[in-house]
Parts: sequence; structure tokens; C-alpha cells
Amino acid sequence: MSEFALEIEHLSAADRNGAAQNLTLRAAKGELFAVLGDADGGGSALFNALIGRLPMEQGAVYLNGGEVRVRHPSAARRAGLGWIAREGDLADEHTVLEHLTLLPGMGGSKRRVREKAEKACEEYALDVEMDVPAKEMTLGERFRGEMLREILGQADVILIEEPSFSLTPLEMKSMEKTWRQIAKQGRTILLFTRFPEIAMLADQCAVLRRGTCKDVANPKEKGIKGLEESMYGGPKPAKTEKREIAPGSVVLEVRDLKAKAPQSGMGPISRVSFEARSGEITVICGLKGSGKSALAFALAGLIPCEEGRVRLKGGDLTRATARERIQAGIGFAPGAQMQYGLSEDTTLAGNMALRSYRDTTVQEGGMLRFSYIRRGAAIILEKMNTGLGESLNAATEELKTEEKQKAALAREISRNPDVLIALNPVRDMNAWEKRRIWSMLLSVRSGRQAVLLLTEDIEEALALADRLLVMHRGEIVGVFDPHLTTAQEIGMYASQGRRQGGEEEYDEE
Amino acid sequence: MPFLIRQTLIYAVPLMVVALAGVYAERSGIINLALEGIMIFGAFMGVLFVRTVQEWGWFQAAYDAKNYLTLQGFCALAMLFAAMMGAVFSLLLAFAAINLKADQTIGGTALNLLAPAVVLFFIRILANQNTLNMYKDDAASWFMLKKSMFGYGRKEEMNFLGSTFVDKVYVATYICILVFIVMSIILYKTRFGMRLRSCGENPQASASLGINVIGMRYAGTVLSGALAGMGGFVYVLTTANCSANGDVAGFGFLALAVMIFGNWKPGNICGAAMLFGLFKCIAASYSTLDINGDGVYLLKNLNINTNIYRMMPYVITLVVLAFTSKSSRAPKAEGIPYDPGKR
Repeated sequence: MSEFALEIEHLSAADRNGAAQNLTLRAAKGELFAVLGDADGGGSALFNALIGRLPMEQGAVYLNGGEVRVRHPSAARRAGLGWIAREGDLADEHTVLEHLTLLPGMGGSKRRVREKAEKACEEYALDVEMDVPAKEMTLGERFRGEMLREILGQADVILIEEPSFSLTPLEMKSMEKTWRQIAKQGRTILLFTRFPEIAMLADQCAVLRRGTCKDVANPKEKGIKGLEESMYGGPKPAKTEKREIAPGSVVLEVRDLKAKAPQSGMGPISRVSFEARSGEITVICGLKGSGKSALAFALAGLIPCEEGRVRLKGGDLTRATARERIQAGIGFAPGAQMQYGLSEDTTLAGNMALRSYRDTTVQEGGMLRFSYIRRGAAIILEKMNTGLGESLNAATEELKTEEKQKAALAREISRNPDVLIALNPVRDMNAWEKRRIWSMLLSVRSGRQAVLLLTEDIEEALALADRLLVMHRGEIVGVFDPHLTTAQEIGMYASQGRRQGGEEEYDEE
Repeated sequence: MPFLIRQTLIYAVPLMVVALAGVYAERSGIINLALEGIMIFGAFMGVLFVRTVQEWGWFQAAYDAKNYLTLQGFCALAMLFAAMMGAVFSLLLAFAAINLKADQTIGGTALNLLAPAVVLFFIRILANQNTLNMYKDDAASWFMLKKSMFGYGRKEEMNFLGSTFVDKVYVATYICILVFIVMSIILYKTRFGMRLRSCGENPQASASLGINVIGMRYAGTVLSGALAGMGGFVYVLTTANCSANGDVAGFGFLALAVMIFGNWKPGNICGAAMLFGLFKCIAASYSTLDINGDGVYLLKNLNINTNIYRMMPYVITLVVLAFTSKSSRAPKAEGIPYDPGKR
């Protein structure tokens, strides 16, 4: 038997966001081990390779000294690995209890399983809602349900990907106690995160940068500053500079808007009212499922506005079609959920013409003019400094995440929209990529146009907002001045629906 | 009235079983559009089994001795054989959809085209005509329950229950009902069933629980094939005098409609199958239908164009689906090939 619970030897694996290259890591039994790295650090590739979602290019994994080879997630579970992925692994229609009964080795009636589960909840200070279908649970509740699954799952090593995606700072505090309790039993927890603050909870921390391990250290000795330095290969990138601009007039006015959820996993919105001014970035911040997509889609005309009013510079757009809205001056960059609004198997140049295919610069008598399309695309990409001029004829699916988003934003911005709506524009990007995208959004603001940014990234919200609104379960629960608020406060409003002015809905933990 | 109920059951029961076959596949995440093809194949195989065994003369002694119990055993064997062959046939779909990650709708359609062609090909070779019949006698004399078996004379009438559920019915129908109940319990009340259903809702979640998604999807598709094959044979046994001709009158597609109308739930499917069975029964026998036993053939005397009655089951299908399919709740992951790397 080895003293290490998990040994990773020379592992290489690559996914869309980043690659792990020749990684060697060892986590001891009963240890809380953090794997810290930016979006392209290779942490997610490592996580997915360990649980069998991604094929390993080379390397070996040892569990308690014995080699394990996993080709499928189910094999990983049977080999003794447990995990909680960022997006979660609960089937929407089933309750936590039903999930538990399906665990390997969890024989017996539902009542027996419930007894076991309740005992575990008590022992590990875990508060789990066991009888509600997962689709009706908050992200935090789902996370705790999955944590309970891992506790009962008897896995020796539990991998947890980006817990802060599901847990608010407050929930994280109580979850830390649960993790400590698990570690005390001799089980090992690996936390995959991109936040040094979370890595600080661990006993050991491996810092990844561009796929290679830069450092393994005790985070408490190293401190947040030290971790950031290893993670970014220097000091943390500076805050985004924002010029002072006097806000202009109201451009977009939304009153009591109501819309259905566009897809499962997204939330509906009801009674949403706000306004966006020119020369300002209005940010609506909310968790996954809070209704940001519904709002963005309703404003872009992709789903109907059921109630309420949408006005752009005084003109009513409530019943307008998507094309009428584009013509009226709404630009929409839908983000990763809709492939950035690009058609994957069209060339980049073709994608740049998608919004303007009716203009005579692009077509003549119904026939497309490809030389014009290419020239137009080159001009747009050049003007926005995207650095994509060489890729005009490349298939869009070959582009990197950042490049796609840049192209999509360039296309929208080039049409001089009165308001630009951006939905989660920097998801899965590293610190530098984020800043380049943000500077594009800020250029719109400098151009005295309005920006409406919908995001689940609190850091992004605070960095860009001139006016910050928090959304919870389809409603705006608070309006903040970004200079006078903190990430904690925003997180609390976003996760618990605490309402400004009324404390009674606040659920004290 | 006994006649109406009896005939409705004859149509409704295969429909119900085949709809459950669809549920098994879809709950595991595979759209089984090939139900029609599997029914055709199962029907052919069942009839071929009966024909071959008769040819060998194995059950002739039992027939001559009027040993009806043994003959029912023969019938059950044929059902089992049809089920097995249906399962084998469905492996084609399973392989294409699970291992090759092919589009399941296209795979199913291909099987629907393949089945009648293959079956007719072999029927031509075996029987030198377009229909494969039993080797001798007919289904009624070999497999049907009759009041004479229970000591009733030619003139005597059984009571209402007897004449509805015993006289002139096939035991196969009741076996099917039993199988339907057992398989529904397995799907909804056992750990195996729950594992299978979780693969149709969220295969990633199932895999994270250590469930072998590929194995479960194979299980779902193969059980689906077995049920559909059996349903196909029972359909031709009870309605076509145990003869196969590469056609089950669109029952496979009707079963899909029943499944959707029944919202993927056995209880609702049972009700939906009864509704369709009733209309199918009216379509088949409106001219001799004496509903209240007064000797008047009401539907015939209405003087409506006979085609109206024949269209009824299909028109009802259209109308019902148009109104209910919007609120239906299909398994979330059905039709999406399982790829451990995708989320």
C-alpha cells in the first residue's frame, strides 16, 4: 500500500479549453488537495481525464498504489473515484434520494437508504433536500446533494470541480467543515479551482499554468499573493481601466417584462424592469438558471415577450421580430450557449456577413458577392484590432473560444447598435483573454452606446459595471453602485434573493 | 357487447405491449422507431416456428388427443421464440445507435424498410406465395379457447364473463397482459428499472453513479425488441389467423402514438391502447357489430361510407397526438448518442 491516495504520473490530456501536459501530482490520504489554475491551466482537462470523460494521451493514475485505467465515467466510479463536476451530475427529474439508491453497493429499501443518508447528513453537518426533483433545487442544494452522494459512495478520492460555481461564500464556509470531516476519515478531496481564495482552504496546493505544474506548496505558507504569482506567472493582471464618462440618455427601457424559460436548465423571468443608458455598462448579474438567458433572448426577439414593454429610444419593440430589433439598433452577442452566434461550419468571413446579408454590400439581386464579403470582414476585424485578419477563410469551429467571441463582438459593434447585449461573454476564458474581451465592451461604452451585460461572473460584473443589477429567480432583487458594494454582497443577493429594503426574505444560515 | 370487448382486447393488447416496448427503449435513451419492423420480423419468425414444429409433427399427438393445455404451451413457446428473434433483430438498431452513434431515427427507419423486404423474400422462398400460413389447420383450432373445452354444448351459452373472457379468446392475449404488468413493475419499481430510466434522463449522471450506460441502453433496446417481436406474433396470431405477410397494418407506428399519448407511463398507455383498440375493432368489424345485443347492426345501418370507419383509428391518432404531444414529457436524453466526453 502506498501512502498516497492518488498518484498521477506524466499525465497528458487535452480538451477545448486547455491541455494538461506531462503532469505528475501526488495527493496523500486524508488530505484536502487543491489544483489551482486559470481557465487554460489544464485543470479541467485533468479532471475530465481522471474521471474517464476525456482520453488520456499518456501517463498513468494510481489509486492507493494500484494502477487504474478508466475509459468511462462509470468505470471510474467503480474503481473508487468520486466526483462533483462543475455542471453537476443530477438528473433533473429525480430526487437526491433516488440517486442515492442507485449507488453501487447501496442495496436495500428506500427507507434504509434514507436512514443511512440522514445519519451521514448529521455526521458531516450537511443539509440536504432529499425529496425534491433536482430541477427545483438551487445550485447550492444540488451541490450538497452530490456531496452526500460522494459521502455515501465510499470513494477514497473525491474530485470536486469549481465548487464556487455552485456555492456562495457563506455556503462554502459550512461546506469546508464537511470536507474536513471527510478528510478526517482518511479520504482525500481534490479541489479543482481557478480562485486562489478557494485553494487557501486546502492543505496542499498544486498550481497549474498552461498545462504544466508550476508549484506544489502549502497555500497557508504561500499566501494568496504567492499563489496568484505562480498561477499567472507574475502579478495578477491589473484591473481594467475605465474612463469616466458622463452617462447619456436612456436608450433601452424595459418595464415589467415577462418571458418563459427558453430551454430546460434556464429560468423564466417575471416583472423585470430596468433601463440602460448610453455611455454606460448596465450589468445584470445572476446565477445559472436565474433568467439571464430568458431576458437576453426576449430582448433580442428570439422568444416572445409575454407581458410588459420594451422600448428602444422611445420606439416600442415589444412585439417586434428579431430582424426588426436588429434594424432598430439592438446588437446581441449570445456567448458560448449559442456558439457565440456563429455558424460553426461557415468561414469566419461568411459569419461576419450573417447580420448584413440583405445589404447591397453583401449581395446583389440575391447572389452573394464573396469578394465583398471577405473585404468587408477584413475591414471589420482590422478596425476592432481582433488580430483575426489572417483567419478569414478558416472554418469557424477551428477558432479558439476567445477568437470566436472577438469575431462575434466585432460583427455586432461594427453595426453601431444603440444597445449591445452580451450574454456571459467571457465564460471559460483566462484572465488575459477576459481583459481583451472587456476592453472591446468598454470601447462600445466610450463610443457613447449602451451596453447590457448579463453575466454569472461577479468579478466581471464588478470590473465593468456602471450600474449593477442582481437577478434572482427571474426578478431583479437589487440595484447597486459597483463602487459601494462587494462580491460577497452581490453573491448573497444573487443566491438567496435577499431583497433590497426588505429583510424578511433573507434566509439566515 | 362480449364480442366488442373481446375484439377490442385482441387489438388493444398487442398495441399495449408494443407501446411498452417503445417505452423500454426510450427510457434507456434510444428512440425505437423500428417497432413496426421488429413486429413484422417477430411475426414472421413466430409463424415460421409454428409452421416448422407442425411440420415435424411434434404437437400432433397433443392436438389429436385434444390436450389443450399442451397446445397452449406450444403457443407460449412460439411467443418466446418470436420475442427472442425480435431481440436479435433489435440488436441491429442497438449496435448502430449505441456503438456507431448513428442517428436513431434513420437507423429505425432503415430497419422498418429492411424487415418487410427480408420477410417477404423468405416467405416467397418458403411458401412460394406472399403469405406464410400454418403448416396445417388454422390458429383457431389449435390455439383458441372455446366453450366446448369447458363442457358447454353447442347450444349452451356461457355467462357474460365466460363469453367475454373465455370463449373464443387466445390465451396469448392474457400472457401479454401478464407480461405487460410484470415488465411495467420491473421498469418502475426495481433498481434495474430505475437505472435504465436514469440513462434516458441524464446518462452523464448515471455514469457518475457507476451505471454502465452502454450496457443499460443495450438492455433497454433488446428488451424493447423482445416485447415488440412478441407483440408482432400475437398480433398476427389473433387477427390474421397466424399467417405472416410482411405487414402488421402500421401497428408499430400506432404503438408509438399510443406511447406518446400515454406519456411514457404504463397506466396511461394501457388506457390509450384500449381507446385505439376500440376504434381498430370498430374499423374491422363495424358491419357485424351488435353493441347491445338486439340484433341490429347499428353502425352498418347508419349508412356511413365504410372507409370512414376504416380511417377512424388513424384519424384519431392524428387528432389525439396533435393535442397531447405538446404537453408530453419524453425522456430528456432520448435520441442523443451517449458520449462520455460531451455534457
